[in-house]
Amino acid sequence: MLNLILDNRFAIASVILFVTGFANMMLHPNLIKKIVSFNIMDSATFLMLASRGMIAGRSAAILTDGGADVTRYVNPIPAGLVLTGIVVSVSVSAFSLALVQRIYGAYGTVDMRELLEAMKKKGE
Amino acid sequence: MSAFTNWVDGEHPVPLKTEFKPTPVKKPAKKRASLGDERRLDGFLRLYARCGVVISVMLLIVLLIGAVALPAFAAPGNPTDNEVVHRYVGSAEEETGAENVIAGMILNYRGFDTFGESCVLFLAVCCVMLLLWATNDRLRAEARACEKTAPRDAILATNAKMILPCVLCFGMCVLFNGHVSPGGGFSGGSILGAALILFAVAFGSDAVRRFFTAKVFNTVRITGLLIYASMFGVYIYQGANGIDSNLARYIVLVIDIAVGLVVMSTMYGFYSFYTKGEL
Repeated sequence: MLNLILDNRFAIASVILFVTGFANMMLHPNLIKKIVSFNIMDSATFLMLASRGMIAGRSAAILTDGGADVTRYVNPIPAGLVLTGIVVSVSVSAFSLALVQRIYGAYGTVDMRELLEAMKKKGE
Repeated sequence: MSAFTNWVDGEHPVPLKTEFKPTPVKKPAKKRASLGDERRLDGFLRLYARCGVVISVMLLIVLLIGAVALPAFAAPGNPTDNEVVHRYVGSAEEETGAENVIAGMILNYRGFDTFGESCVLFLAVCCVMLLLWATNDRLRAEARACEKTAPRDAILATNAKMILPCVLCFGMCVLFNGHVSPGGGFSGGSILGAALILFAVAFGSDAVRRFFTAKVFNTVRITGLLIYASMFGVYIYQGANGIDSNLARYIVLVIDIAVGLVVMSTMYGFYSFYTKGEL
């Protein structure tokens, strides 16, 4: 059992981070903190992907004097995927923060409960 | 420099108001919702919290079972170490002309993916502009006036003068060497964007506006995307994998620079719209 956990330590760490972010995003009433939790979830995914690409004893996929010997380099695909993920995560965070700023401008609060109350009042 | 020595000697007047504060939103007088509504909302939130906890715990259990069942970390011969990787590492240099396999991969083999990524950045900055552009003249005048009256921080300005050239050189180096060493368009562009932001913080956005106006901003990011699209079009039209290694290397470099321009203007755009509501 311990061996199993040690073998997958990065996967387990990223699962714990992911669920921390997910639970926070569901349960925290503050909109800004929801966005921070979303970023934690993103980082967990990146950790997972990057750890999947690692192969012990090999170097980063930048060809040096040895040429294109496949057994000398780690998997380059997760690195590319993480790059894409980071860009998308930055864009989504920027967009949602702008939305939150507008919500604050309109309602004067970023608290979920107060927002629900205010929206209900507006609907009447 | 004299401002700096004055500051160290404690003779510099302490600024009272240096940050931009938007006019506070008038909160409507709090009218309690009727008791029934309040109770219904309380009930809903309690149910929501309970469901959230249950779903999170279930998700944790399912994902943990999955994580433990994965093949061991960093072992050679994992299922992820397959023929796709061998193909990319083995022939990236002759097919894309880039020693940095990751740069070659994301700009050639997966060029469409990266093009979509640049479009996502472009769209994100468009959305932020749409949401945060200060259309209110009074608000904009207020922000500008506040920026004019705020004294420049002597420590920051002195340090920025020393650091900025290094940051710019480093950013250029990362951007232009993206195909042979770690780096590339995204990292180089972010460093250049950070340099622009530092410049704006240290010397005021009027100093940035001397060379980076809204017009230049739009031109740079649209041109970057167009260069990317046309270069990738050339690459596909020339027969993709079959083309000469030197031409491929040139295409990778130009695409990298185009991506760097898009990322740089996007980063500065985010900063500028969040702090001032305009460029």
